[in-house]
Amino acid sequence: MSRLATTASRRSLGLVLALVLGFGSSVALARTLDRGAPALRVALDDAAPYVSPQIARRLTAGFGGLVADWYWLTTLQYVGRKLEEQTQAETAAGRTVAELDRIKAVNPRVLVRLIELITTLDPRFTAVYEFAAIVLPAVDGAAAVALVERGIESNPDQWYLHQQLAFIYWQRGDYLAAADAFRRGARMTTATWMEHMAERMESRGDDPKVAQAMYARMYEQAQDHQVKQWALNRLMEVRSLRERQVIREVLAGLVSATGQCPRSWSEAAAALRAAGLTVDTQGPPIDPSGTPYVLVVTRRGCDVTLHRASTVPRG
Amino acid sequence: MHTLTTTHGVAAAGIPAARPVPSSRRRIVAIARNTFREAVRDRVLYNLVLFVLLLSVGAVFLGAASASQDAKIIVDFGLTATLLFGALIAIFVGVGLVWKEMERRTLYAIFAKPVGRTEFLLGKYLGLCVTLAVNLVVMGAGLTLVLLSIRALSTALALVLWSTVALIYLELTVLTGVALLFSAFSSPVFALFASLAVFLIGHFTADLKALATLFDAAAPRAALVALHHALPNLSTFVVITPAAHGVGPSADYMVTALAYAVAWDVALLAAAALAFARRDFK
Repeated sequence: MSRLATTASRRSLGLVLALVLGFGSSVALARTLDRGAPALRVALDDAAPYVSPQIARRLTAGFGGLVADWYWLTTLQYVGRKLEEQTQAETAAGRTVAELDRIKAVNPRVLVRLIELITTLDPRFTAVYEFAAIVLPAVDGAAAVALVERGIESNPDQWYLHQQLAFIYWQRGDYLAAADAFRRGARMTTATWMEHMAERMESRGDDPKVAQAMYARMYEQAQDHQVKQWALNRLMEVRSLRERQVIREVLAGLVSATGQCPRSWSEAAAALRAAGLTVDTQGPPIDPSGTPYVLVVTRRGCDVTLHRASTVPRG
Repeated sequence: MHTLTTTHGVAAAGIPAARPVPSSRRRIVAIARNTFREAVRDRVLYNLVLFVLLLSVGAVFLGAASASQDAKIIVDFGLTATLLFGALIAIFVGVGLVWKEMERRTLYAIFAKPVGRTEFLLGKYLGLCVTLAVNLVVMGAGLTLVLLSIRALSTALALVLWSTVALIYLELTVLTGVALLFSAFSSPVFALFASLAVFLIGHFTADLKALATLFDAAAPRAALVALHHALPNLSTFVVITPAAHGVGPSADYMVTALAYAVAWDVALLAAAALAFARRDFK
């Protein structure tokens, strides 16, 4: 091999080594940086976007939709992270998983700013108002109302946004305002259920049947599968609360008839069936998630509770 | 010496006759065809591979991450990418149209033939417009297929999508004119920066008019309004955000936008031809 060829192959070998060394150390360094990232992320986690929505709209020119999509993904990640944190904390404390409408760890300043940014850049992005109507009231009810009102203003053809508004008011116990929101929505659609909901809101806003109807409609109208799942969970919760009420009445009837609590579900199975509950062949009534209820017998009396494995939200 | 030319172009006395000079239209078409071929040879259309890759990856991952908003995001993303890819091609290839011919000295060979400078510019412009049209049709088809694959495409959305692509194309023809104008009288680096500047400012010209209303004095107000009219309002052609919600431009809007683009194209090409006619190639 000539001297020239040897020099060339040595140079190539050196370059390959430099490439491997450079790439290898960059991977190792990235891992080290990632280890330090959580602390940094915690600091940045609750930092609201510093660009005002109006300026962002000017800067993005005709590409507001794409930037809104970016902030939408950021919002989902932010809420998802907070939901996970809260779920971990509640599971450790022996409680049920956190739900979308009960995330207290969300920083309202960050979430409101993000949602304002998205809806200013793309006012027709209706899924965002739907999401805000569910997540935001737990931390800032007034901001949630203002956002959905703005959504209604920007989307006068989207009648179901009135339902989102009614939901926020209903959750706050302001049944008259909820009824008003339903009425405003009813004027925009031929569907009569909104008018019926308005009437029921006015007469018995706190009725569990109203809650059931509300969540059923939210489930039907939801664009996002996460919101659909949340509405389904809430429906299970409402149904389970009603079932537990019936079970307690059955147990009270048995205690007054026999003078003592039933020792097992099998002793109450016939009465539970007669009350219209779904009862397992072994005797226990079944909750909406398909898990048997647990009979709690103490010196003070008997009660019913959810099984640990049940996925019915515990409120 | 007399030469008798037959209809077959062969001299009766055996001396080869001069070929009949093709018409101006045919000369322009020949240059346009060559420009398109050159763009294909230069692998300009390779950007389509990157576009399809981006869309496919986007379609796969956005479904899971966007909370059922994948169709909206894909339309936003796909149309924005279509515009940006197209704009980069229009500007980068556009500024090189004249310069490359000068650099390779093929320009002298072209002008040695009976080709006018205006014909040369028009041919180059049309060639790049055809390249961009092919590019946009493939990108639009890719976007349509991705939406079909996630079962998010309706006839109404397809109509909105293609109307938006058509408006993007109109913007690109204006941008090509801008790039050609700058390259007709300046260096490629200057032409590149100036064209990019027009692309950016062109999307903000509506703000110039809004800014003018803030001034009480007539002079700055008139200056800003003049600047607003002196630059093409490219935001006219960008209706991507409403398109992602299935809201498309009306037929009236499309016709007006077409007329606006044609007006700018004519003005830019005329200015480019004027500048190019005075350019000294020595």
